[in-house]
Amino acid sequence: MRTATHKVMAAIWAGLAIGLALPAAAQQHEGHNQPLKINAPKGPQALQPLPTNLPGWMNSRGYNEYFYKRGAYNFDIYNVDEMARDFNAIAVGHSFAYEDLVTGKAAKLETDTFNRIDWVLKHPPKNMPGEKFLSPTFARKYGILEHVFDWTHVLHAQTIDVLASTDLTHEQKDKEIDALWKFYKGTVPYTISGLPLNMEMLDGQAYSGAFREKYPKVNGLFWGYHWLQGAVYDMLWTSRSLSDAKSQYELVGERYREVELYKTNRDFMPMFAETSPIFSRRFPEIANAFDNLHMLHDMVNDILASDWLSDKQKDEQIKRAIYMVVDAPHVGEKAGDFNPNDPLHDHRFMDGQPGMGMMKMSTPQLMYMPEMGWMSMSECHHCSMPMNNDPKRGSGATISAQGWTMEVRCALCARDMAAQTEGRAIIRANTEDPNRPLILISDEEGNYTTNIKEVVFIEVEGPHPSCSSWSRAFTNRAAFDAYLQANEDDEELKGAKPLTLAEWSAKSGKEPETYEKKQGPVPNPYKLGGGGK
Amino acid sequence: MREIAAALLPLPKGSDGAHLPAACLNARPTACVRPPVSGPAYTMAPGFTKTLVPSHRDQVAPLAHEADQDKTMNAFKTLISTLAAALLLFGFTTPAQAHETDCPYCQLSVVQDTKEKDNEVVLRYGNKRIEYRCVMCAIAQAKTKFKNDLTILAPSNIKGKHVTITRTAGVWAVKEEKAVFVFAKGSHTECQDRYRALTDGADFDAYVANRKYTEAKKLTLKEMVELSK
Repeated sequence: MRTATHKVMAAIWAGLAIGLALPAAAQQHEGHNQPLKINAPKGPQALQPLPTNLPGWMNSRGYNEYFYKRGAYNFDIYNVDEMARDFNAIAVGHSFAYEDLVTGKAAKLETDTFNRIDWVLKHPPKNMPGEKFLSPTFARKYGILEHVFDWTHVLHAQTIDVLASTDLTHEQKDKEIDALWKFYKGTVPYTISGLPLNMEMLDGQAYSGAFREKYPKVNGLFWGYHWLQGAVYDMLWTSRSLSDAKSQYELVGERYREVELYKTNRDFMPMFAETSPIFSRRFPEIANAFDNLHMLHDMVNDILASDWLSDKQKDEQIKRAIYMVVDAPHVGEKAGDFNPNDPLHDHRFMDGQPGMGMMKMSTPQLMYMPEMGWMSMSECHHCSMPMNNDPKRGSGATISAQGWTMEVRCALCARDMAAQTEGRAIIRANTEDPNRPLILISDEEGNYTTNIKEVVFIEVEGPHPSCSSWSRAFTNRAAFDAYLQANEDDEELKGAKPLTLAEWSAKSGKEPETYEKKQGPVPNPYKLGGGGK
Repeated sequence: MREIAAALLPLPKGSDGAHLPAACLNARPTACVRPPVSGPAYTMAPGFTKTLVPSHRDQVAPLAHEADQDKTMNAFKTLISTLAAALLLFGFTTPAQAHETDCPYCQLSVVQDTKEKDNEVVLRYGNKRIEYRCVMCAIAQAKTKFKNDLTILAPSNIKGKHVTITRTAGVWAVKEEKAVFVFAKGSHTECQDRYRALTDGADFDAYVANRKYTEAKKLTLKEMVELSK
């Protein structure tokens, strides 16, 4: 037990240490915690020239195609057939839109094209189509872009296959996803960078915003696809059985098909770490590559939608867009690097989330997230205390509801945040066993179904700085008892009773005394004009 | 075809699962401490604000299988407590604010309760407890989104006294017999005042006169339910 004297002495020591350390450290990191001022003028005068040092492969006209890394898990996405079909339809949606954009049918993109895509989304194909066969003109005109897209889509497909496998253990999946990343980067030169790139810079080009402005419905579809492509990762990563995955996809897929595809009021494209924060933290390079890929989609869309660009300029700007997100301009750079005078090389990431680069007007500590406002990714979104979601700690959870996924620090924070949100929700919570995460799926009234029938909870509500110790989930009563035994010195846990799921679900905590609403310099940076809109 | 066939072969043994660069790995427990608000890693940009909350208890508790980490963790816990105390000593803290959210119906911010006045409307639906900006938003949402029984706790003109509205088997009722509802059409940015429950109809005239709501109506619950959309 700590003594009062000990605490006071240590407090004085800590205070002095902080005081002495600050000036030197502040100088060393000057500017790192400031939002970059991105100058994002629009139109012909702002068009940037094509770099002269393009990598050789970018001008290659040779045929060059590689297939999947070998693995018994390939095509296991079909274990969750409904999900597989939705992904197949996404490939059709991409292709139809691109083909019509480059074959003089852009004027009907919001009507005929949208309706054709929508029909496919509602009647998804059984098998994955080859995109270049559905968009042959686009593939011929922008062959190298098609290569970049295809190869990164292979990474998407294979990582999902691994996660949907019923043959691999969780540990094997973890290793194989690392191996897939190496295969992705090592097999061909046209790979997307795994560095966090500054999203505001990428969305601050001379043409940025054109597509979403002219074709809001089709742009909504694109961003809806990107939402699903991110949302399934944490869903699958926390699943330990097909049943876990299917029960979650029932809700995720419904949300995608009924809401996310048809949203036309998003401020920005869905970011990978916003929908799958756990996977993004474990595999930040993959998360960053997918965000960079999705940003490349946006840039290409904007270029093709900018009528003031000639065909030659479109070709050059698409090459320039590819150049910005691949490895070539970032050789020797690493995550965290920051050059205040060159946003292309701003590789800062959000504190607590290495799988997410800087957003519009963000700092590593504070970002604006559509529908959530200003927030920190390193803190619990219910009680504002620092996060530690390492599954080995046995605490921490995420909540998915209304299209967002938020990290929280304890079971109470998860339950109460879900209770305060309309509609169905998924809680993915750590338990004492890292191999058995708890998955709770709620109905509209907050009644839960669970993947662990014997689950019990501890909840002895106290101050939130320690909520991860007094509010937790356990796979069974024995684990609960063992936890109490291991913490017998903790006065606040003495006499704690195990709560069943029904008892725990009906409870409601107090408003966390630690909660703080973050304030940014403006209410919503995406409503300022420029870059986004 | 050969490549497709190769891709379908079993996973080779010893597939490489080497770790990612250190900069990209998950924060360890030692990084779980909230650094001082004025420290370099947490310096807010100009125009950004952030409050600090004291952390006066341990951040984490050990699991049964983590006995070997106990010593490290105890030292860590001590450091956490003392750092928090240090922060208090040096005055780096400010009070936390109330929980804030947007109204799911009108999308405007839910106006927070103050010392003098309650503003937050709470709709209870099963285990859900959803906040709305005004009583009209809550009733309108109840009519369109929720099919089963529910309860709405509407703030009144008196601090600490709520008007309790229920819908049971489709029948709306209000617990407080003398309760009425103010319905003063106007900007929805003032909806928390323009659409408000009063515990006693006798307070209506004074309430609308104070706010200069010249065309305000005094409604029963039935009328309020009809007009809420």
